[in-house]
Amino acid sequence: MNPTEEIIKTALLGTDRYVPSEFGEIQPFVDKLTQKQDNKEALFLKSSFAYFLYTEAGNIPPKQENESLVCPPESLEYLAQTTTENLKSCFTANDDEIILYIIQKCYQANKLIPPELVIPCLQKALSNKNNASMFLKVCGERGAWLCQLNPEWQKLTMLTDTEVISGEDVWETGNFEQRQTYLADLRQRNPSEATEKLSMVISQENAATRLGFLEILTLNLSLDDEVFLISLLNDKSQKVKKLVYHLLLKIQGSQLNTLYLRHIQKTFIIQDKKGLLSSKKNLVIDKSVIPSEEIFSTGIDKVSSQKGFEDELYWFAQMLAYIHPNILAKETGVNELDLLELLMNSKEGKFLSAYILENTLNFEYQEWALALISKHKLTDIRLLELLPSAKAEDFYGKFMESNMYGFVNYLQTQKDLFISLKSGKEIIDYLIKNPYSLNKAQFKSLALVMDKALLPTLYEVAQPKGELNYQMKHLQTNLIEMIQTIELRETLVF
Amino acid sequence: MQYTQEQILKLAPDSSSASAGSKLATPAKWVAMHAHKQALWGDCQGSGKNPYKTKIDLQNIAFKCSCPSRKFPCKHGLGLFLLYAKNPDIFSKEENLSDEVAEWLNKRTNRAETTQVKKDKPVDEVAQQKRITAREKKIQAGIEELQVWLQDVVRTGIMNVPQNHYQFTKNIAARMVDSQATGLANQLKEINKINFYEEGWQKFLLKQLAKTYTLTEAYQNIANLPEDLQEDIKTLIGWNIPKEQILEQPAITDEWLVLSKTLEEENNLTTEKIWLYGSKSKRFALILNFHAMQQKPSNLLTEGLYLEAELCFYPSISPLRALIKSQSDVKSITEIAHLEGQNIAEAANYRSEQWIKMPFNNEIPLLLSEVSLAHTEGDWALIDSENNYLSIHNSAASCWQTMAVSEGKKFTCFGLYQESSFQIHSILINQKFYFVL
Repeated sequence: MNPTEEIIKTALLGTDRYVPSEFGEIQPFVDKLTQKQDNKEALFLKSSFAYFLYTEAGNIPPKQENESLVCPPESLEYLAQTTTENLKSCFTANDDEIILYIIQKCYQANKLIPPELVIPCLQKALSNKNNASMFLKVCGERGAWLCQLNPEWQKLTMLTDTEVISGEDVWETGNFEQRQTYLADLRQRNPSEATEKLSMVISQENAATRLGFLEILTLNLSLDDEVFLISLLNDKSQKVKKLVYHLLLKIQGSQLNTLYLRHIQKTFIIQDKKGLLSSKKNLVIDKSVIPSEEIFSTGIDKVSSQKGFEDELYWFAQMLAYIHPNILAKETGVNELDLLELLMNSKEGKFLSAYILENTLNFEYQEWALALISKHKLTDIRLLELLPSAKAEDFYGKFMESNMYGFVNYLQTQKDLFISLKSGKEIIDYLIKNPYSLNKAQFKSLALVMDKALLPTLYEVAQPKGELNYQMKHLQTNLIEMIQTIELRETLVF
Repeated sequence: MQYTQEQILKLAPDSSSASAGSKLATPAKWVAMHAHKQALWGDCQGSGKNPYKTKIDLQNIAFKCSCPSRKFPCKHGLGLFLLYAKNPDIFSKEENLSDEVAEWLNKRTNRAETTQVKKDKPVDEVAQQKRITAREKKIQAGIEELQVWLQDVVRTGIMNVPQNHYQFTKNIAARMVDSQATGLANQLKEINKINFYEEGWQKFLLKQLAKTYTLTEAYQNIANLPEDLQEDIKTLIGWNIPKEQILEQPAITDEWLVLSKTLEEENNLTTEKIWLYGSKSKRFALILNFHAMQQKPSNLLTEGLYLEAELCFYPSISPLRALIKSQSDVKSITEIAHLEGQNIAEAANYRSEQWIKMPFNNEIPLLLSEVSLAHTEGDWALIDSENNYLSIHNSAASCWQTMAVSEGKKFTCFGLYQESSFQIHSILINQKFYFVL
């Protein structure tokens, strides 16, 4: 037993039960102390102190070869000093909306964040999977190098775009998100190769993974996918099966879609109703035509739960959602917009509108989306997403009134969106009347995409005007944050 | 002087104040904003009817605000200062200070002078001696009690201490406070910092017990020790030297770099430790400030600032603790050219020398140069050019931060040697200074 173990053993057991036999190199000193000290506890305590001090003071630093793990040099420039300062302040204040904004801009400008912000940025990347590759990119070589060293951050490296595209291995060895990104990218570039790759592995995957992969087939969906999708109609998972039917039905000309089309052809009749001066087209739905059992097996609901919505009409409506407006127009000989009007203005229109909306969304049919918003006052936020942003802006007021929360979420998902002064003023007017319709983060997100010409209006509304009620105080606080955010945005240099 | 936004935010007492201060850094919140070379002042529209009046002394950074906040600096002070750092042009430039601000600055100067007058008051030496004798008696009694307690602990063994370690020193530490030996109470409280769930607690506990015992004997034999060491021992026992007496000592004027600033809170008492390094004198200085719950910090320094000041050191065999006698300027320098440090072997020698001079030394400040960070199997260490190895006990987050800013290259660092390993506080690389603790 070495002296350290002897001393620790004595301390643990107590001097009453054990006394250390030696104190190593300081034994002569301990012997001297023993001559002066008759109290064995005091002697032990002082000798131990001397022993530990002596050992530690005499400690020669050990030698170890250092594997040189030096970060590769950066090829990109760092962010401007002022922007860096602002980004640091945002990290201190945990201001997620502005951090994300600065990182996005930094990413677009091909700039790097300063070294001291790399670790906080990697941590943000971990909690923000959707933007992980962007966060990693702005960390530069330093970020990638640190990810190699720290197992916790290693998964971030796999999410960068370049690796996904170039790394064929990702499909074999990557995790679900990486494989999904890889498949989506391949589907975009070469749809048939993506289907082929998927067909080879789909039977070995679990239901959630199958569902995740099949959702990607919505991209560039075509008749070429029919055979593969039909092979999946016996999938054990109900969710997967439902998605497969949905995809098959969306393919115009597929066997299932043709079944629907045949039924629509039989039931959908356009009649010319002659008047005194002109003739008027009239829509008639023949409810006596009963769909075949084959149609019902595709997942058509048999019984309507809506009052007054006849089952026959309900079946028709469900099928209508899967026939492309162009084909419907061709079949009926009425152009798409007139056809929409006929459907919406018919006596069944109030029941059909939900399925017309579904049709518009299924085929991302912009003309119908515009007509549904402008003429028929539909305010489903997904319709706005189908319109180009310049056109969509005309309807902001309408969507704000019906669903401000969803509207702001829509704004947040739009790339490179910029709200004009006119729309900005509309939004502020709405917020003055409904200050609690947005949360703090949403006020900030809005500010990030608003025209700076709105500042005078914001200053005017936010200006203290005597005693305020709690609603106005809440609005004022948030408007000041908006002002601050716009002003900050304007000072950022990339 | 020009503070950066980051440095201003570091002055905030907590993260919520930093966040609230940032939100007020907009002209929309300020009814008036004035700038003078000595001070900034402005009126902030708060929730009340009248705006809050906020003032900042730019020469010896200090804040004053009419708001009821107990935090210091308050969000209004931080907001005004941040706004000035971001956008000084929007402040109306003033040739003269407003009456209110001038009065406040005068008061601050007068306060310093009052302290000077207080110092000049004659001391009743007889009464003072009486008090010292009475305290000495109490301390001696306390020491005897502590020695008996320590001997009892080692007689019965420390095996069962972890089972009730929260209570282990509670009573005896309280007795030391009663005996006016607060230093000894602090030595005992160090035991509470031991992680009893980690292998090696036995050694740390025994070391601390043995050190405390030896300290009590050193105090009993104080007359036989060198004069400077006597001061160290007395300080460790709990004797304080009045600030006025320290400020009478010859001062060292230098440009001091703020290497590190840490805060420790215990029982509503915050201990602020500011480590400085003299550019010319090449010596360390430790400014220790204690703030009770609502007390305001006397100086607002942050890491990486240069302070032109006169420091008076407390007597010690290796003087470190100091008081700022006067300061003329605080500079924020973005690039620091060079700091001369030691390699790990030299630092080990220096450390041993310090222990030879003062065996009870707990923290030894070191400036290491040409070291790089090594990470193997979860252990972090510094390695110098001669492959000497020094393990470090920074948190994982702090180690990764050091790795990120140093890029695996060699750097100069400041830190403290404590309990067999080193803790990095700040590093200097590519002429940039980073606080990494």
